[in-house]
Amino acid sequence: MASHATKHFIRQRFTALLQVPLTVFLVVAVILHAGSTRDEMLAWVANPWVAAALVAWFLAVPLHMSIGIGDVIDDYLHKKTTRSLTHLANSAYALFLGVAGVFSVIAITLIH
Amino acid sequence: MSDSVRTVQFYPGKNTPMSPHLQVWKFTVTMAASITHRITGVGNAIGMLVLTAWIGSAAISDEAFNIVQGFLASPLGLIALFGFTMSVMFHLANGLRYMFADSGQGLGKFQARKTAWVAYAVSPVLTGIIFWAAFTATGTN
Repeated sequence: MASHATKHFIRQRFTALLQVPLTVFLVVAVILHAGSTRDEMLAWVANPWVAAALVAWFLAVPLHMSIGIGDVIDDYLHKKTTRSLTHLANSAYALFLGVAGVFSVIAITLIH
Repeated sequence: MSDSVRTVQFYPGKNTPMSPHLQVWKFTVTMAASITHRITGVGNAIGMLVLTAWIGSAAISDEAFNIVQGFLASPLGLIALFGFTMSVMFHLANGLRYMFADSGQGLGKFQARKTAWVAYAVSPVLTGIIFWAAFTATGTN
């Protein structure tokens, strides 16, 4: 983590910038779909523009998340083995969320 | 041999000084915003689990979707959603503040404090608007 400072600095800000409009869009969409049925939600996700935005969001967020939590781990965990294992768990969690999110969006566009 | 000179042996990971020294900071709003930024960041990462479960369950089946939707509409689910929304809004507002700082502006003592207060003020207001709008959009709830 600590040996890729510049790369992480740029990626963290790049994903942050991406997430600002994407999150605002997502929040507005969720408000409008607050009482929707599953069918209505599937139709919304299956729209190509919405699906693309959701995929971009599910790629950007796990990357941003793993860098941020990685920094917290570096700052507060000082024992090498614990730190390395926690970094591993952090990466696994981000990968899991990214894969689950992107795959769900793809699956919905296919089943709808 | 006088004992006025004392040598201290440092063992990395045992008695070496470590950063950050959270306990010796004077309380300022900028430092509070920094800590809250981290806490909300970790909170958002946990909240992502709910959001991913929501979209994942929609992809799986009606039953799975109803379970997640049912949890989110329950009192506990609404409290979780409220906290998650507030956490995201703070991280968003304070994150924009950091982007502004990255451009080299707003770093003065008084301006940095003022914008930190703005981040704290804006997040509950936005959360309130979002929940008000969501309940209005659904009509009866």
